[in-house]
Amino acid sequence: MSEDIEDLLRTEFAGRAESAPLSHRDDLADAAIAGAGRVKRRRLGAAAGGLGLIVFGAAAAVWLPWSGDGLTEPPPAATTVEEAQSGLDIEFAVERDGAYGVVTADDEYIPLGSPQRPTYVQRLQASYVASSQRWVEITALDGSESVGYELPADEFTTVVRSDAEAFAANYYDMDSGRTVYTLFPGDARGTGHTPILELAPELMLEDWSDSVMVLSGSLIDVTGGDIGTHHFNVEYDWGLETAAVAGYESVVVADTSDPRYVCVADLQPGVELAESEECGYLGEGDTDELITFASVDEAAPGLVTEVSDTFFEDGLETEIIGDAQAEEQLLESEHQFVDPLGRWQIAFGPQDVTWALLDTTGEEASVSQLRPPEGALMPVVSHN
Amino acid sequence: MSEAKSSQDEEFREYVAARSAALHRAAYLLTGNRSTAEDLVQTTLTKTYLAWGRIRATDSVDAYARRILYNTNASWWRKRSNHEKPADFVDDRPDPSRDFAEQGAMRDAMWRHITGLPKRQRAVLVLRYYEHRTDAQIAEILGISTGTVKSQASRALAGLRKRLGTPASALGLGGRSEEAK
Repeated sequence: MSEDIEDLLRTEFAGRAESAPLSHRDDLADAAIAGAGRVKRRRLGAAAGGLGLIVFGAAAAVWLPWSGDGLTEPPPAATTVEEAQSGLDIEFAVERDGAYGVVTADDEYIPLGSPQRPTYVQRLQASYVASSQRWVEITALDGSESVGYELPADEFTTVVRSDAEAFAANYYDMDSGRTVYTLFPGDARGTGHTPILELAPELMLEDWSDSVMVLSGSLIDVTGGDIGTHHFNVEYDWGLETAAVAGYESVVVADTSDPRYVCVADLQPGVELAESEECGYLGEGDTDELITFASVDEAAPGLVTEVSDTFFEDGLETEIIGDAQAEEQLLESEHQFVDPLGRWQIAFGPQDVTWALLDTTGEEASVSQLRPPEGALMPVVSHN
Repeated sequence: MSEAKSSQDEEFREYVAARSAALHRAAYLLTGNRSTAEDLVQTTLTKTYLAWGRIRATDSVDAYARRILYNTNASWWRKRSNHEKPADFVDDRPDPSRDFAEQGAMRDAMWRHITGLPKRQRAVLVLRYYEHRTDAQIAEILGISTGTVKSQASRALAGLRKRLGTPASALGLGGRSEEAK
């Protein structure tokens, strides 16, 4: 079995490498030379400003204190809960006296209605969403209301809408071979409609509004980027008609290798039909107008463009400063939590007493150890 | 610009022309997408140029660049989107009787699993199974011990074995969540 897996890896890597999209830029070297010049100037500027430089090699940290009037002590190795709350707005999901709740950035305790230990807690515009086995619990931010929903799968993933007003829970249904998305409103009153999408597993839900669903899938592999009419839903049984049944005006599928290339399915809400898709490039031809027309929503092209623009998110090169042990914990730990607003990342292992906290609010990312508050299960991942 | 600097820059351009495609391929395997791979290669080349005066006359220019590539990737923190990280589902061995689209979906699922691995595990796998490096060479490139190389590889392979052995793999596809672990 091991050799099979190793063979599979060799084949997969070789195939992927062979088909890797290579850059055709012919100015790589000159861009590197220019970039090196900027780095040199920045280093000089930092030294002139009296800053110490902390340089992390592959495995060892080297502390190079500035000998002038600037930084003379290593940066603090630990961050307190209070600092995490006040500086980074971090909230903590906690267990206290057998119940579950959130300790807010103001150190207020908000009870979650979750009947079982949450495995992931997110903050939306108007609620906390606590996921646990077969269950999502939606609790008002002040804890005054809470509503729970049972899901037919032990394990599921959540996708939060970009405006943080709603979310979807999804799981793979082995019987139907479909990825099933249940769409929930992000409020705790429990009066909302919870439509269901059943999509082919090669499609992923990226974002949605009240009119349009934005998915991603591999399109160019099939079309070669052809502009015009296609029939993916009919040929490949994508399940876009379930979006029509759920009441959506349109579905836009963005290509996973070039998300500017999209295919638009114009639906009739309530009618179980998705006959064809019109494919083209965002910002070119009449693609944007087509999305507006199909979605009956002038804001729809903006939503699709946002998904396209952020599909390959920027890598942040960080000069990580701080605690080497915490950096190792950050790289290696099993549980990883990332602030969607880009302020912090936290990692820890099942037995860890302290967590590794990466503060990404400054020019350089600083890593430190954080001793979480009593009963802490995990940080709350906030989308607002 | 001095003659020496001009000559040095020209050597660097020749190196980039000869090796950038190989760096791109490795970067793509490490990052899983074109845009980030391009950024990684550009950063690697910038750092390589910063050391060019020191390394250009040695036999280890390419080894230096590769070390930069792998270790820069390890220090990058991608902003995650609001959707889940790559799902932990993988395919079983390709079945010739399945049609092209289905096999493509299965390969994508396998790839998603690889790109969902912790960065160091993925780097070890790429070096071992793509670049065919020995554990000692991997240890040197990543700046870790050979024991860590072995443990990282072992952990990654165990994860793959576990998932390849799931009932879902018998169907070719399966799914699980990031939070419901």
